[in-house]
Amino acid sequence: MQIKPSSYFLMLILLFTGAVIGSSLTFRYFESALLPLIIGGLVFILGSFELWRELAAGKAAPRTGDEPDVKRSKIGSTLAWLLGFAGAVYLAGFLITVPLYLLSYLRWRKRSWPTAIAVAAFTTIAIYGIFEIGFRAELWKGLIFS
Amino acid sequence: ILVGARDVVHHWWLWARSAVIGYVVGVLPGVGPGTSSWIAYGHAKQTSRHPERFGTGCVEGVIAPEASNGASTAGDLLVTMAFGVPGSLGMAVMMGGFILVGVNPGPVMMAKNLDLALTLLLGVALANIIAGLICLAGSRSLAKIAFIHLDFLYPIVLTIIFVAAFVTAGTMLDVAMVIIMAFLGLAMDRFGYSRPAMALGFIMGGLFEYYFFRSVLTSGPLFFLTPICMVMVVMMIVLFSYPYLRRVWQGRARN
Repeated sequence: MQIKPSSYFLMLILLFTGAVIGSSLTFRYFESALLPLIIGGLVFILGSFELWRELAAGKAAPRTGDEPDVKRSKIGSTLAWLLGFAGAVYLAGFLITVPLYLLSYLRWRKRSWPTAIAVAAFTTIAIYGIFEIGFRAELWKGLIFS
Repeated sequence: ILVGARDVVHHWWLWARSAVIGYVVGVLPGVGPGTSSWIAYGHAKQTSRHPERFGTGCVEGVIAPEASNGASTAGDLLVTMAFGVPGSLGMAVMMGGFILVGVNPGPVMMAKNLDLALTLLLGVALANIIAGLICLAGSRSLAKIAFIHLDFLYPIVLTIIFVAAFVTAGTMLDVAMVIIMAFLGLAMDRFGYSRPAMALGFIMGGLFEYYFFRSVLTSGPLFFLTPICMVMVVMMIVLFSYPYLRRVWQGRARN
């Protein structure tokens, strides 16, 4: 029996709703637990039905179809940049990471140095001006520098 | 530009029908302007004398969805303000803004903040007129925005999202939540789950829980057995089951 990627996602949903139902059973007041039980129960039942349908379908045509390798690698690289940016922000803070990220990303996309530097500088100044000066919101300085 | 305006006048009946479709669909909670545009497009194609021209730049295929798209905002706003039920994702976000400043959309808002409600209505009407004038004046320049390459849009938009997520509560946990939601959204898009429906449920969840809790405290767990609730439950069952029943009836009629 071939398990499709969508079935794994459904299993995650079922796991989550199972946790919701289990957690709501520990609530002190029945009225508080009622809504999570109802919604969680409904989602669990419908999700189980959908999972059974998918597993029973076996080698039926997948919902999304076969994705070409190019598209898969594009999604992978996009996610890698997303996670890398998030990690760098956590370590070094916004004001250091943002210009470095923009510069490196645009250079990786084969943009020219003047374009990459201009976009990085403009975006960093705009973010600093709008958030730190305009909204007086202190941006994250990073684990290293805080 | 004026040729486009003349086309709308020439197809005024299609424009009117599409606007009504958009308004009615906009009134339905959770059904956004995207849906109304598709319905209006389908209706325009079905009622057109030349349906084969649709998909080749036929002006009717532009007039119908755009008229519907604009009209659905009015329907969305009506439902959002009068009943406190957001008609679309945009209205759900606006409702969140209302609640943040202490205005609760719904019948109470119509009674206590009628001036705000009327201001919004006039604002929407005026916004459409002003937007039309701006578009007429700057359409050539504005069209160039559509040509900004994804190489520039993606990193800039991502940066703004992360910064905005952080400054909301000043904690990096919100940025982590953005990443988790990004993966969730990607999975939902890949496997065919509705992301607008989830966002709508996320925003409405708190309100739903509050009123549900009040109903249970007032009338007990079987509060839905009251006459008004029963009528609404029956209506919901009919609405949900109608597409399936219709398919069954049509299948039987064909046989």
